[in-house]
Amino acid sequence: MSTVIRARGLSRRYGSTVALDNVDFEIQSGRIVGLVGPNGAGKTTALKAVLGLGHFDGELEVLGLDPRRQRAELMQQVCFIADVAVLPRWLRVRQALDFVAGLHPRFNRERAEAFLAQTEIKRDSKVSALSKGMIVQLHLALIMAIDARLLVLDEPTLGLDILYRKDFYATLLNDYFDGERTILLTTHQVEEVEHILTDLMFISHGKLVLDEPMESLGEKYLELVTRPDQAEAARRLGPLSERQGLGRHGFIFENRSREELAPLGELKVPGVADLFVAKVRRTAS
Amino acid sequence: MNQMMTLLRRELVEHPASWMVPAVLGALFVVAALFAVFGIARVGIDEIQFDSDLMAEAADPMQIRAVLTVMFLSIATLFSGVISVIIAFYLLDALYAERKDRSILFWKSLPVSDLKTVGSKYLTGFLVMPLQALAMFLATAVLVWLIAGLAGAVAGTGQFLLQGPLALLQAAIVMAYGLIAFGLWLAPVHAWLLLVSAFARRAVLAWAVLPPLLAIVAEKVLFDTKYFAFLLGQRLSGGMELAFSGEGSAAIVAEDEGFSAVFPALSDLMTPGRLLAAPELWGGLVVAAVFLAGAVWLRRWRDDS
Repeated sequence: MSTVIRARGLSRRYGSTVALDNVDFEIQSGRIVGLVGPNGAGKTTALKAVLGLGHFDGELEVLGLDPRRQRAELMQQVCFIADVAVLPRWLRVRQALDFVAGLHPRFNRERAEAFLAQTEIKRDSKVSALSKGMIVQLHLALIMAIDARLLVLDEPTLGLDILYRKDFYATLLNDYFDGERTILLTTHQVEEVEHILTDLMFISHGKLVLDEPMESLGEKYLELVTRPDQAEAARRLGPLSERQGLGRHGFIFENRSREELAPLGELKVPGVADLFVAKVRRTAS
Repeated sequence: MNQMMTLLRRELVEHPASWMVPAVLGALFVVAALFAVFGIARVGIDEIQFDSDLMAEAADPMQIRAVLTVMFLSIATLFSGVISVIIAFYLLDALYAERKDRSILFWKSLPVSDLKTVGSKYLTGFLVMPLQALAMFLATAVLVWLIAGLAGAVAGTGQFLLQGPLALLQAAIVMAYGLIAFGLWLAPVHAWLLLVSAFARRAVLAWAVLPPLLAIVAEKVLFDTKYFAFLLGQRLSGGMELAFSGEGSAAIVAEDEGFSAVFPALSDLMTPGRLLAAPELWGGLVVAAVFLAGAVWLRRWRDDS
């Protein structure tokens, strides 16, 4: 295992707004990291810094390279899908294969052809004639045929219907991820990726408000479900969030022991979506 | 090398006008030549009618070669003019279209430096598109030559067939030289278009044209001088007065019993030494390099979102 991304004091401002505020994080190889945040929280800015697409302040090393100065070199090892709509519409499927083959030394054309064979995409079709889901399939086929060490996906399934979204992540996990590569993805549909992630990061107002491996989430965060008469006692322990429903109160706690909370009600590991709401609301207020 | 070929191919696939328009133009010439020899229509250069009687009378090989060269050159000039317009619009679009449809993010996900990408776009306008025009011209001229030559043979002189290749070679050399001279001379204009293409958020044409016009107006108002307007006019008029001698130019003159035609030697016509010795050419190349560096920088760092 080695460090794939190392960021120290990563910052970026656009005029007077701070998009990234002194962020530190490290990502190890072989991880699937979900970077989750509301719109405008700084997710895309962070990815752009990693991909060398924008200016930033602070230190950042990706695969040992500086994305500002060694971008072309870095792109030999890093792949990304930025958004569903970025394949040029005038491109034919065959030409897409030709061009990536001509431009990327680590592209394996047979592999891409094999992925495409599982779809209904025709070689002579223009991108403009493909459905949104097919464009994503094509893009994924191109990207997965590149032997890269880091794959960055920015809202890769935005605007896709549910069948394609499920397939997308299934393909990624089954046909691409091999335990050595690293995947960094952003999304705001947390529920969909929850089960494939190994690490979770929350970002809000340009700051990282959570950075945990999935397996330790349950040690640090607990959800307590109590009856209304225990609610006051629970509130005194300083929960991150509280919600009410069906005669029950739900609280999410950070760094509270099971022994402390167990007498008050039922305990469980909070869902990522609930945890996200709790964390982000808290930093926003 | 392989990367550069792929990049150039990409440009041609994305911008098919550079071969489609010359192809249509060439087809029109061939059709016109066919009409002419079958006498359905008569295509004239000035007052000279290209019908078969005239061909039979003008049996002097040198004159026939001169006529053919002049004819080929006028076709070549038209192809050159058309490709120049296409190149200008291509360069204005080259770095703008990929930002507009956001496909720049796809291209930037591939390990190609911005210098190489911008370089491939400049090279497309400087070399590849002129070569396409030259190839289309040659294809057209060969067909026109065969049509005219066979018609001449039927009318009793094989000179059109015989003199064709040499005339064609002369015209092709002049065209190739003209395109290179034009490309070198217009380098700052082309680089400016590429810079605007990398810079403008929308309305690229307005961005290309308005700043120079504003500069002219500002200079007039502030200093009451016209140096920039003069420089710009000199640049856009093409530098052809430096690249070509302008003396002993080709002529076809009508006479009572036919016509006489002359075509000067190529060494008298073309003056590459004078062009290359002109400080204006080198000054322009320096300006072009600055604009291109700006375009590379913009493509590298420009953040549209």
